[in-house]
Amino acid sequence: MGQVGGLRSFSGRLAALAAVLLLPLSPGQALAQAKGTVTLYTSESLDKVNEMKLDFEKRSPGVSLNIYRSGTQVVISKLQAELQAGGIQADLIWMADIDYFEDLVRKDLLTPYTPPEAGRVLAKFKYEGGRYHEVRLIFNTVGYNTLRVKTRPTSWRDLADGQYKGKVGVASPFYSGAAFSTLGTQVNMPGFGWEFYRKLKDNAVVVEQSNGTVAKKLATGEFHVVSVVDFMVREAKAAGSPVDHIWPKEGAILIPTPVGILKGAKNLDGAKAFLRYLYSVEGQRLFAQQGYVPVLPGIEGPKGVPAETLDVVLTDQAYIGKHREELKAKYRELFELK
Amino acid sequence: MSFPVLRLLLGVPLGLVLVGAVIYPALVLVWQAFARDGRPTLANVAAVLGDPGIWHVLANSLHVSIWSTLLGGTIGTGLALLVARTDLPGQRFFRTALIVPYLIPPFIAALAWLSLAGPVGLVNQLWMAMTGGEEPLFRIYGAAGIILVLTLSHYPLAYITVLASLERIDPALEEAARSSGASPARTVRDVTLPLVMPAIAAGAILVFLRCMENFGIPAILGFPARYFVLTTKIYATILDFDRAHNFGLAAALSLLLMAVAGATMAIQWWILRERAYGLASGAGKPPVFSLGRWRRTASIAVGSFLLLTSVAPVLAILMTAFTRAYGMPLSWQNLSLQNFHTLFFGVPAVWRALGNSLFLAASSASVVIALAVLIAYVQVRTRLRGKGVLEALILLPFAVPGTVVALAMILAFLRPVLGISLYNTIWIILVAYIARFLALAVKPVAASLIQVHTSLEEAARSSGASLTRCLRDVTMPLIRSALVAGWFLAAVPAITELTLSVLLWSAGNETVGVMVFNLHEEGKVLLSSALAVVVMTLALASNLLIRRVSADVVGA
Repeated sequence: MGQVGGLRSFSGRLAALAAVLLLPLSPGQALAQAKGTVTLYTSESLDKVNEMKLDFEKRSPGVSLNIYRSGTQVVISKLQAELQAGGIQADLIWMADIDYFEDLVRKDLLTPYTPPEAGRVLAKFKYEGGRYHEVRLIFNTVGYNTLRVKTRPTSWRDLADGQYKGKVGVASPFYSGAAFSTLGTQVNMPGFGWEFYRKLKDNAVVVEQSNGTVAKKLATGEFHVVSVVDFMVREAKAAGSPVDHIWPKEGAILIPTPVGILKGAKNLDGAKAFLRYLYSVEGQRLFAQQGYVPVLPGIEGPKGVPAETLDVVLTDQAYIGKHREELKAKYRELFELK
Repeated sequence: MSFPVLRLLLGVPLGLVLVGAVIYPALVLVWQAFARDGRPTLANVAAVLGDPGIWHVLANSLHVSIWSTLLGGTIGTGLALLVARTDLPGQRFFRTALIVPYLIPPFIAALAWLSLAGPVGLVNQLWMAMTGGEEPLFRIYGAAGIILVLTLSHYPLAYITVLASLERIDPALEEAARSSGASPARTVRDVTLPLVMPAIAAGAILVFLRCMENFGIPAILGFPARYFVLTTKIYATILDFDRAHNFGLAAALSLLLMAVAGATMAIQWWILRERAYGLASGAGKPPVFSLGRWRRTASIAVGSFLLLTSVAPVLAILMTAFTRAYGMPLSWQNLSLQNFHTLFFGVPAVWRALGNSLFLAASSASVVIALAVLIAYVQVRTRLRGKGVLEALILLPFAVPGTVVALAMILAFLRPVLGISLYNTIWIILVAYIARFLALAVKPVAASLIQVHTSLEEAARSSGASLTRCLRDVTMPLIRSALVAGWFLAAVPAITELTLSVLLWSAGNETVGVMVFNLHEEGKVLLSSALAVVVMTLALASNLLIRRVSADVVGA
């Protein structure tokens, strides 16, 4: 980001002065002045979001990103507790529960902001008039252990294949937002529905807490085939673990993991600067490097992702939002979860 | 300085801490258990007691704790007898080495056992390679694994208690039995064991209480099997935002957990009351029962026990920490420092968490030791009424399970109190640590103050020294080593603390224990193992330090 790097030179300072004087006229310029601490609550991967923090801080001197990272459920509980106590302390939130974002929109707790960098991004990823955003794409796919599986799976149905009985892993929709989105989508997919989940149960599927655990146990061979988010498998594969994943012929399921700025953010400029960074070419490249599919057109995706021909099933948020309790109750009943 | 002023100086900070960190949170906790939306009700208690799932969880808690107590008590007592009463070769080494598992934080032990005996741990990998099968030999998730790790983390408590008692028994009693012709086995059965029975019971109860209140082990080994005990259920309830009144329910659950702990402590008090007999000032050497031809076997057995239960899990987690790709066979190519590199250069939060933990440990220990001096002074040197209440208040946050203390802190400080907002800051953790670890520091300070005879202070006073001067020049130097010991006793558990901070941390205020736990929860097994190794090293090093500085006070 040239405008920041140039601050040391005389002309850079002049530009900065001009920016300050023109502040009311051009909010975009003012963002270069963002400083102080920005607080982010997130369920993003700890090491990845820290890598992002370092890159963001390097590109935006004077701003530091303060991260609270935990599971989606824990993050939401914290937000709920803070709402009860009289105000959310975070400037931004970023996690795998789009439903909760919808809830915040209904309560008018999110600030609409669409960074200029997001211009070329598909409109459907800028939800509710820019109140929250999909800044990179995660898919739920079928992963398999290359040492244990003889024939490469092709379909979601392979999870119900008797030859893998007891060696199939999924994440719990009670803990993982991604698993919940997958459940809500699959029960509406033609030829799947709850019948598919009953078959999974007959195949002695193991329900783990998080996707991370599913991916870990896939690497160790404890699971042979799994339903898991794509980037974790690619990451493990890149590290040398005996795993790979396929794009199921019925389509990979897009897992929304949006980011949004809260109303009353203490550091609004800083929060905007971070959102701009996430949409920027640099941010998107780092996403790709981390194994995520970038959302900005023209950025090369990570290795092992079929570029344009992705068969993608979009999650039906309206359905999931309306049937949240019912989905959880049925799932709980089927798998006797407490 | 006049006496009333001194009283005020002593009383105000002490009163502030006791009210702010103990009485007020305790009252809020009880109130929340019996209230909804600000109105008193029995709804929370009714919901908890009427839920069959909760009785199941209580049964789980009792199940794992009782088994761990029986196993840990037996192991601890047996080892203490071997070390203190027989000619076991390598006795001196075993005497200390058997305490080591107690120095490793329980949640770290659970992670180490996962590396060793988890579904794809070393043992099961070896088993599957040998049998060619895909079924693990041992399932560590669930009750069995929790009992295993609870037992091995806590048997040293029974061992230490029984050992101390064995060394205080009047040797004449056992000598008398021997010279009247009783065999060594009969002497142990009819004389030694009955004499140390109160210590065995006290040790067992200590093990039981620690197992009931443990959070880390059932969290790490129970969650994957959806096996809940009271502490993990309270944790899950606090985090269950989908459920209405979850804080009230968690508070009611806390009362249930406290009721079990309270009943146990009542039994403990009753047993310790009976404990005065048969002990002498330890004149003479206790008899040594020769193991005869079993000497070597016994030594090999104890050595193997240590290898299997202490050395093997530590080696296993070390191996995981140095692994490059998870799931690949063990080989030189698969060993690397990558995980440590990522931790220390790729995750700035790691340094911050280490800094936070050290800051919290040092500052809570400093506050605690200052308060301990005041409290010890009041307890030993004054005839203040209500000393019993004071003692109870100091013991309360240490005696109740840590999860309950954390919940009380959340409920008390969620909203600003007197305009000060503690929630979401590092200070709420500090307040919790001060309340929790105060009792640890009071004990050695009070013990050493008792030994300082008042005549010394009186001599100084009658020679014209002011009270402050007398404290500074006479009393303080005499209790200095106790102050150092008390400081370390409070600081060391704070460095690797998890149970409180896992519920109280906020952005930028994570502790290193929370970091390990979160990395584990996220499934980042390589990173969590690497950080666990760092924490384990820290814990062992600081415990070595504590032994050095407190050797003359605690007699460890």
